[in-house]
Amino acid sequence: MPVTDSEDDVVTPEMRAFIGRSTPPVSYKVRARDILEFNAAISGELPAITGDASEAECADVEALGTMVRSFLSAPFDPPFPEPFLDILDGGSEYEFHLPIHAGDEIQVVRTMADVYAKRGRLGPMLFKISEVAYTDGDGALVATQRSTSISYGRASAQ
Amino acid sequence: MTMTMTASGVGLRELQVGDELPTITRVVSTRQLVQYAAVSRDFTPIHYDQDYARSANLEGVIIHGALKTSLFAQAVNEWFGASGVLTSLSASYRAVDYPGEPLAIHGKVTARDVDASTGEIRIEIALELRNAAGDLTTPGKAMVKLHEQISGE
Repeated sequence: MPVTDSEDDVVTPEMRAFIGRSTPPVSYKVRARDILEFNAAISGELPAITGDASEAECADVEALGTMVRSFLSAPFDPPFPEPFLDILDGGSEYEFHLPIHAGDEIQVVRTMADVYAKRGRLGPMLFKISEVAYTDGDGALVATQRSTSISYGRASAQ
Repeated sequence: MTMTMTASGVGLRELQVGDELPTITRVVSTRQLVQYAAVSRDFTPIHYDQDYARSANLEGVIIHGALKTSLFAQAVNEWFGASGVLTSLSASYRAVDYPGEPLAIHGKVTARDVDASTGEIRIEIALELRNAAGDLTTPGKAMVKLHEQISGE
């Protein structure tokens, strides 16, 4: 973990205690309309309005792997003590193991992999690295995402 | 060298390190930001509220980083079609991008190997998303496995 001058000012022992902690699992049933609307958002088109019949008609439509990002994890319990209000997305690394189709069940668990601070042009910045595992109804790994969230600036209301 | 490919993936087997894939240009609209916010449940105001974005020292609302990653995923789909499967993808958001601006997505083959036991071809692609000024705002990397196997290579 990088060590900077500002680290001890920003990263508290309470925050460090989240490293290795996971969120409660949460499950989603993938609907055809979810896939169609996600694909439309990426292509810039308006989603076709097909009604409930699309569920059967679109059973073979495969989602973009990055759609897993739409399946949000449950919040940490208790919540992470976020010190800042402003948030930037630093980037993501995905690994895709299985395709996603309408009708699939996706279970999501997020684990805090690291928490550290750096000082940038925006002042102290808190980096949270999390690893998200997406598994199907049989427990098979569908995808993983390792993401970097950067918070900075105004103090959070927490 | 720029490869000429078709939707059927002609030329993919011959891809070699250093080959460049056809550049794809995309313009993301503000409507698309609203659509993406809805499907991703990312309602951070810098993506839909012009006044809020300007108060955060931005020129206006900005494109979600995760949307740019999905543009990479879509580009890989356009390049490889049904001939390949995306097995990994990464993106680093070094600078913001704005809706209404042409964004150029470039891909260059940086590694290619054949699994000796299965004959599977794996191709690593360095990805770049550049803004209208030509600045690299979002570098990335993708790994693609080709469905077609090679024997005796």
